[in-house]
Amino acid sequence: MPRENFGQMADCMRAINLHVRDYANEHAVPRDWFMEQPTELHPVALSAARKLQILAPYVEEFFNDLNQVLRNHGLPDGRHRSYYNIGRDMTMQYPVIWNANKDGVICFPNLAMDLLSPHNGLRNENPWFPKCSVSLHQRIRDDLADPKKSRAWLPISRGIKRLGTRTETTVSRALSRAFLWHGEKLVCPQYIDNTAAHLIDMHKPAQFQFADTAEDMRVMYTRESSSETPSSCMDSKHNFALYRPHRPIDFYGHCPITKGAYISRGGIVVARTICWLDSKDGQWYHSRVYSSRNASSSELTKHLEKHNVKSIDNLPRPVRFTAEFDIPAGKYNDVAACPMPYFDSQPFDAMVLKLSNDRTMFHVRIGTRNIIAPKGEDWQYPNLTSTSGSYCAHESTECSHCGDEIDIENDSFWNVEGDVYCSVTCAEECDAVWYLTSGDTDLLYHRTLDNTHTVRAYHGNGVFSNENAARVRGYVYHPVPWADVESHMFVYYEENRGDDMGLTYAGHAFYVWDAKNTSPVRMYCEQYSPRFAANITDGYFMFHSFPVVSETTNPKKVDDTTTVMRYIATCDNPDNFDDSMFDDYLGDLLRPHAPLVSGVTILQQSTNNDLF
Amino acid sequence: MFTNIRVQDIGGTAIRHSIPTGAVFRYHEGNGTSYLSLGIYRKFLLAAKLASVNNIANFTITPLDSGVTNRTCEITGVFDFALDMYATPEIGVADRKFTFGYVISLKGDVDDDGNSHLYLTVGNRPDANVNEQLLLRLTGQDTAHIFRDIPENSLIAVRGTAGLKVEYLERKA
Repeated sequence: MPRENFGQMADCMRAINLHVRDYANEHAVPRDWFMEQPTELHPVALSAARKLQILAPYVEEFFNDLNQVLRNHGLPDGRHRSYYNIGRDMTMQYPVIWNANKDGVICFPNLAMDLLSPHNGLRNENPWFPKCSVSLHQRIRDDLADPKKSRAWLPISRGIKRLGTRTETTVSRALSRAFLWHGEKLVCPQYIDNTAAHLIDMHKPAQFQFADTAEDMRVMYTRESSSETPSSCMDSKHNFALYRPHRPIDFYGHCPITKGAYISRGGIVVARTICWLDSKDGQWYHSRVYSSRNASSSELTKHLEKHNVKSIDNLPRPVRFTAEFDIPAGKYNDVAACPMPYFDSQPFDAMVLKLSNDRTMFHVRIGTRNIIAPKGEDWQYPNLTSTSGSYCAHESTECSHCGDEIDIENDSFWNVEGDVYCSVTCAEECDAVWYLTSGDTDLLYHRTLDNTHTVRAYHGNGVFSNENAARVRGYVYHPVPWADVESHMFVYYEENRGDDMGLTYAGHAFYVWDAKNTSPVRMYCEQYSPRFAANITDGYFMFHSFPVVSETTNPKKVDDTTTVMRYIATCDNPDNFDDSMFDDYLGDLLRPHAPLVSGVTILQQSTNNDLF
Repeated sequence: MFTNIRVQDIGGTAIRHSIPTGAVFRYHEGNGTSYLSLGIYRKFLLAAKLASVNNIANFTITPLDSGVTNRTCEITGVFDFALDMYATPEIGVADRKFTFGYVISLKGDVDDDGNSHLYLTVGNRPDANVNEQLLLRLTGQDTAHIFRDIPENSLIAVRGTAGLKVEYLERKA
């Protein structure tokens, strides 16, 4: 590693001293009123800075791992922070890095640090202006000034060797001694041991497993506030129209032609997929692999290849799977409910099911529609893209809101998480909202939604699953078409119902979501505002804007809207017109301006200002 | 610094609806976009959104009930209006579709010393009275009520244009 050259800083310090000296002489100010900057560094201080720069990437690596564990498993104060780093909350008192096997750590206790955190790293540590090593440099200076204490640092070789003292120790001991949470040492031994175990587990090889049963599937879809586990609308963080312990993904465990495959590290699932069996030739295929890191996907794919599980996406001809099996019925609102996951991959033509007479089992068939569901056998077709998590069996019932009788076989009805409604209006009266993902729409209860990432439509009874779904499925809302909004606003416009929401269509053009993303979208505004059409330039929505000028830039150079003026008055008899009439008309319109509000300055005074 | 912002506010956090006029701010846990607070007019938050290109700040009108009103923001700086006054003002009437970013004065609108108040045109009113012009006052002592509206066809003197000077400041330790 090249040695850092701090020599230029000495030149800068000398220049500052010279400048101060000249200033003092010029203004006849005593020199001792100014503090002279040191122009030399002791070699021990220089060595300390260089050591810290060498250790910087290794300290960062350990901090990153610790950050990951804290986000996955919880903070020392018991809270969770899934999406943001620990920042300045966790600080290191001296550098700690992994040992070669990553089953222990190496500490440098003589390189005492202040405020060393993931936010404030060591890469730019400078002995002249230290950020993390202020106390260390101060201590070296003080010790060297003391004849007795200076022996610890002299000769220089001894001082440098002392700085580099290293201790190999356990992760638990390092966590308890070298780390501070909000300035306090970690106090809970159980937390320290668990965190240390998780840190070590991170570097152990990932474990590959198949999930064959419903219980295994529940493990595979467990997500504990972890950013490492790929999220899913079917995972354990969601609620469904299905009472526990049943879960929607139980379906895969009971279906004889499906099973899960996943890899986990330290008990955390980091990649998973669903495998499908072609019962004709016994070949297993896997659908899309989900993970939060590409490396995890690749690792799982390699394991699948070893087990001769092929990707379903790379086949020359799509495979269509068939199966027939029973699945125990769950419950929701006293109705038998069949666990039903959201199928993002449907390698089959159709699925039908029927509830057994004793209402304890669902008999499920997967295959070609006209073969698996002969007419007259009362097979029912579940919604395979619903995220409600279950299919509730009904024969005849009444609307959960208005009480009207509904014939399930012949009437149209709406099933909201197990409750049946005769119309959308009735469902909406009972807190149902349109839940919109990028590719699906479902009526769900607002009270059961996980609102961590959802975006509520400003107009219309819609909730988008996240911002991306809102961009794809919604339309943007601006109160007026000539002004932007501070935060993207959306409306859900259900055209089938003819509900105009009291808004007016303003135009269809590209919309700038952020610095990197644009896409075409329809804009709706309040009814009063589109009397002035949206400004669409080069296919993009444009808004009124101020030029941002520097002090040396004249705002006139920036293009802006053109002022179109009309006649302000006409004179009935031009022969009778004189200047006093015009002056009377204008009155005090052009008096010199009043004192400006603070923060308003005039760039350029007009040359004939005295006229006004 | 424009009107209400104070140096000691910089570096602090504030709920969006309480951010003083004149502050540069960004949303906590937002996408990093900077906004310039212009104040509150009726049921709307008025601001300007700094674009990443072209050195412009898009005017924004956001309903108070949009969900951003109670979000936490970080105040990162201040801004000033820089006026470029015309050598010769232009007399005219305020058009129905109003121009934006001009400095104007009005007939019969003077301070106690008889001097004209200056206003910045910020387009049409964002409510049902959309045919009226919304103005932001640039002169005078009252910094609490800086917005006013005027009907279309009002007699105005266009006296210049306005730009923005944005200054990000770091709070001293």
